[in-house]
Amino acid sequence: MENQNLKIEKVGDSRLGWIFGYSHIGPSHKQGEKPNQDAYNLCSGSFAGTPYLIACVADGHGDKKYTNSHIGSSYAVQDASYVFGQMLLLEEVSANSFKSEFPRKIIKKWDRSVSTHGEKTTSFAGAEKPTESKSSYGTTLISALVYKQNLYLGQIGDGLAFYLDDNDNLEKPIPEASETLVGGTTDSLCSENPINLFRTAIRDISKGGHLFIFTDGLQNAFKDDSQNDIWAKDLTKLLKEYGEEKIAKALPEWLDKYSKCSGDDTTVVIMKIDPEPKM
Amino acid sequence: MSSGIPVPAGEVDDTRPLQFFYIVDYSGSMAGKKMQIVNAAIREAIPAVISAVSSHPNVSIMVRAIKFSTNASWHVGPVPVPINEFKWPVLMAEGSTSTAQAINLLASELTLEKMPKRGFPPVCILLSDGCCSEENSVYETAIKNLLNLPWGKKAVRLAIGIGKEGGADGYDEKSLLKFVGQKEVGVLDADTPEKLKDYIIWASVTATVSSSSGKSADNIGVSSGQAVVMPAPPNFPSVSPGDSEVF
Repeated sequence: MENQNLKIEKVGDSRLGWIFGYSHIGPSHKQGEKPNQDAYNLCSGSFAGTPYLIACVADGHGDKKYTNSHIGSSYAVQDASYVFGQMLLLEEVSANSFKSEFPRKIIKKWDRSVSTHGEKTTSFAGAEKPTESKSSYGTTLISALVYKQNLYLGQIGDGLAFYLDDNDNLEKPIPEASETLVGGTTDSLCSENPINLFRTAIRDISKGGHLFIFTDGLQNAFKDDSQNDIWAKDLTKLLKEYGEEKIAKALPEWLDKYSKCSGDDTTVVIMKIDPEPKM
Repeated sequence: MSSGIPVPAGEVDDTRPLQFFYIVDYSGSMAGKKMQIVNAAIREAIPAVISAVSSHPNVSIMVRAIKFSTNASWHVGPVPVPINEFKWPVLMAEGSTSTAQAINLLASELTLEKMPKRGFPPVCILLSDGCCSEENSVYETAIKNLLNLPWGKKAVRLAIGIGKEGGADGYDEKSLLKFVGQKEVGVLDADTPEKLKDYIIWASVTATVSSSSGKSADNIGVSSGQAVVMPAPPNFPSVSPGDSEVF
């Protein structure tokens, strides 16, 4: 299938902003005829007349023992979007409840999804296979919800989320992982006690700005972290100059180059949040 | 087809470093055949490693070697050498066995400040035919300090025991096992020249390939703290009477 990994999706609500994303398979996976282990999901809509934007990005683990991590990452982004939707419905999206409720709910939902999937693969055409272990689905997750002038972020594992406001101030709102993770290890939805490893942040984005989320396949393509910052700022300038349609079309070529540098699947989601209209 | 839009600024790097360390005992008991084999096998292992990772062009292997007898010092280092340029100088045996000093020297290079942030887990291969001649508490402290470092904990750490295990002049398997990170591999028991050569090459190649493969989740089940899981070592044949010599 030509360009099966070329997936530029742009969704948005004209009252709030827009988002688009792209995911590129890494050269080692392409060579080994393995699937892209990154996944992302974008949605927009409105709840009780108030618009929202959702973006979720996940990176399934690459080591060979994670045989189902491409499925784990797909479930992670779908389940995170679902959980955001449920929380909106139950009016649980607030500074008080988000930080405790979102991690708890997404972990529970993802556990159930992968367990169900694992059980379904147990018997096939009458032959018994061992139930797939949860760890074989291991994945990271970064999820973002924009609702009522606030940006709600939740992350487990590596990858980066930047917020660049309209004054060009760059911030990484999500706190760093508490333990120093080096040498290609990461926290995961399949880690022991993932609830303790989840990091959250909430920001007022009423003045508008850009949110970038990317997997470590893109992060590791750069010489060091300072180059990631430079990239995000320059990309914002290019977005203003050329517009999002043209930038979206340029992403496959760019991510092909970055993915060759890191050797990994690379995924980026870009969200433009318009400032709150002045009354 | 080019989009015509300039690529956003941001310096890329198309390689990720993998720091590789040999930690080699050259105490007096290593004199003769053992030292000869170690010198020759490491030279043979280098092109084998290069060939094994040739399909991963983004892995940049940087090699160093620590030697230890009465004291520990750099045999090749402290500046890491790209594997294509690495030459193994001949080691001549003498002195006692300061394994703890060697481990401390290794640990001093695995700090967050010195290790490249984007690097693969380092590979550390310890070769010894005897027991550490320093106090047991000194050895235990060296191991503890190494494992307290994030990079020390995540490193692929293997040990090859040369000659016979146990006794007054054998290697101490229990001590070497404390260094080993890959418990599924254990201490590689090299009691013949052939096994020593084969294990040095196997350990060098397999550890490098395992380290440079995909990402792992931290803190799951029994492999908590261990970034890289290696395959079990091959069963190199034991010596038979009238066959090749033992050490």
